[in-house]
Amino acid sequence: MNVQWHAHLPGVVLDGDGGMRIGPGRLVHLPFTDWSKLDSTFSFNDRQYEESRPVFYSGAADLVDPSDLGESHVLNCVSRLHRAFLLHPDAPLLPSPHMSVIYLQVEVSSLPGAVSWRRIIGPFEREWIVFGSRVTYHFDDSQLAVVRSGYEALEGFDATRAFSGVESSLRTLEVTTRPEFWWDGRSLNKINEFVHCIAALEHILLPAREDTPAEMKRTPTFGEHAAVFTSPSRDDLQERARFFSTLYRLRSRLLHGELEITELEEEDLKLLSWGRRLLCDVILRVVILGRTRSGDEMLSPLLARAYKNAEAHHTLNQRFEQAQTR
Amino acid sequence: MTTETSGLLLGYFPLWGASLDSDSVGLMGGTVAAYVPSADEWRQVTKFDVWMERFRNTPLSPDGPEPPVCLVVVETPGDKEDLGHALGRLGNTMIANADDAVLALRLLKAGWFLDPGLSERIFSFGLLNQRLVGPYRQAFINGVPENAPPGCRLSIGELARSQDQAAPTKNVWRLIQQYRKVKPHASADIAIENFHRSYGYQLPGTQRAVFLFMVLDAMLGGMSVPRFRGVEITCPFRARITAALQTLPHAEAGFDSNEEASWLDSRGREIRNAVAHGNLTTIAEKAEKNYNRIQSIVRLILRQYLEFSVKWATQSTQISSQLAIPDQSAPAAVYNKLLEAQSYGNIDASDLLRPAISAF
Repeated sequence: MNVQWHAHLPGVVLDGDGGMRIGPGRLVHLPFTDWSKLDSTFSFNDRQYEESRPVFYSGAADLVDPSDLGESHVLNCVSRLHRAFLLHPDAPLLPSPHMSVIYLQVEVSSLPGAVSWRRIIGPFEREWIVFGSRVTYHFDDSQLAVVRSGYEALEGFDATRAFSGVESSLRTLEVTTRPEFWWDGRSLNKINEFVHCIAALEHILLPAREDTPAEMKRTPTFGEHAAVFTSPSRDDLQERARFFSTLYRLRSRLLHGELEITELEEEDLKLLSWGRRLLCDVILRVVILGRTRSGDEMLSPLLARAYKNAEAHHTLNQRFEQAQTR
Repeated sequence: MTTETSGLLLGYFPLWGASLDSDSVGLMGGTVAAYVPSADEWRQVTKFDVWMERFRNTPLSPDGPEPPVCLVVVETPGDKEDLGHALGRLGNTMIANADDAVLALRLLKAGWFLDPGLSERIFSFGLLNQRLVGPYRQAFINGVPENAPPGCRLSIGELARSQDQAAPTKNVWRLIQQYRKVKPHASADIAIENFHRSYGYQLPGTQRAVFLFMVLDAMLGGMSVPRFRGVEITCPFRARITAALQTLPHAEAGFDSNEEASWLDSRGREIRNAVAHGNLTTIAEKAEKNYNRIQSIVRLILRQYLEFSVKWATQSTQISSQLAIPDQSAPAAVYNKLLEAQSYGNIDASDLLRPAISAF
């Protein structure tokens, strides 16, 4: 069975002609004449469409398994691509393609040669396709190569076998790109995104609160685990641990109400963007390390040992490097 | 309904998804009213091509597409002010008032509607209109989608009919104004923000639940025994929830406090843990079925938390001495200490927890 798709990527701008292959599809500028065959709703808006130059993730696949309806396969590829964009080190706030429109063409198995088109229309409707994206992030070929490596890292990702908290963290990255988190430009948006990102990091880096040993203090432990996981070097380990602890401390000061949102100092405001950047880094690492996970192994004890013991840190890094080659 | 509006600057904030059981105008508070505009009035403020598109989709309605319930904020521009100048002077206040009215409605009762900031805000002065469109402005071209959650059913009896009449929405509005006036703090602001986000458009139940758990994190330090700087808490989550709900008048809670606290601590915790650990498919159905119940509990506690925040801002010396804690303690720490004291029976904190401003 053959399936073709064109998924609009809201917010993505290609610095180039497009055509980069990622997974089973390519990033392309779909000409208006081609798009209007898929969707005739805005048949007189060719000028606006050409100005907005919407980018689509387009592809076709022959599905071997006849029980696969095609749709779920495509939607998984589209979601994976979106996640790969979100994991880019620049941490772009790109809304999901599911917020815009995804066009699917599936062969009708009972009628040889016949195809059916389906439009999956999200809350943006066709607005961002025709009239342009309200946020834009530019990607050249070298940046797209990073996205492609993120896509490849996610290809073997199985949420049911991953370390605890990874899937929910990916969802945190996704949901915090919804327009509700940035549309009106209020300072509270950045704070809310930050506390969600730190909560996601907490689920990956620390044991559940009810399983936390009485002697473990979450603020310094968060910093230690983040520091030891994100760098193989021990030269500045304590300094980095102290820095990451300040992120957790800021989260607590905010959630407990020690501050007014207008009372954040310049240093605190700079820290807010670190929540998302650290989360992207940690997710990518834990996805890769997860390839070597056995049984119900937990990440937190591994990190605790690695922080205290240089040999354990070295072993963890070796394991990570081996996992990268899988 | 039709209103005399000449010389006034009107801000229309459509509440897509909500309904009102009357053609009359109700007052929310301040300069904010809620009503269903007449077909003529709605046509005058709607963008022509959007109005036509909606008209095409409602062929059985001879007067045009059915207008949504709107919050309408009324201001009086100066003698020689044009729309641009008047909006520059009054626009932000009008938007802030409408935002508070949205919060008041959501804190008052259950039922979904889209935040007007995400669809459209329309400012009208004479024959001129200016629109601030949101990201989901096309979402209601064909009316309210079938997959939208059950809508907010507003009754005219919940709104005031005159400036000096009391009404449930007006009481909640007054509470919000008091909170804004004293010392707002990040904990309550984050709680409010995530309560709003739990009304997200086209969001699965698991994600709505995540936002509600963030509200609980902000107010109660999560579902375990929280650690606050300088204030020790030993009282478990369930007991604190029970203490919070028990002090509300029975008519407001409308359910058994022990039972709800127990449910949130067991079934609610199950949803939270599954979502946090990434087991989303296993819990999706339960989250979809139960996020309304979680939201109802959160709604009551958030109202209480806002009222507590007002009291803490004005009576911190007295309250901290009563609880034997530093008077510079974080609001969330003090709130939880109060719940603990109430639960353990150390002091009678019910006066501090019971709403002085009743929604009813």
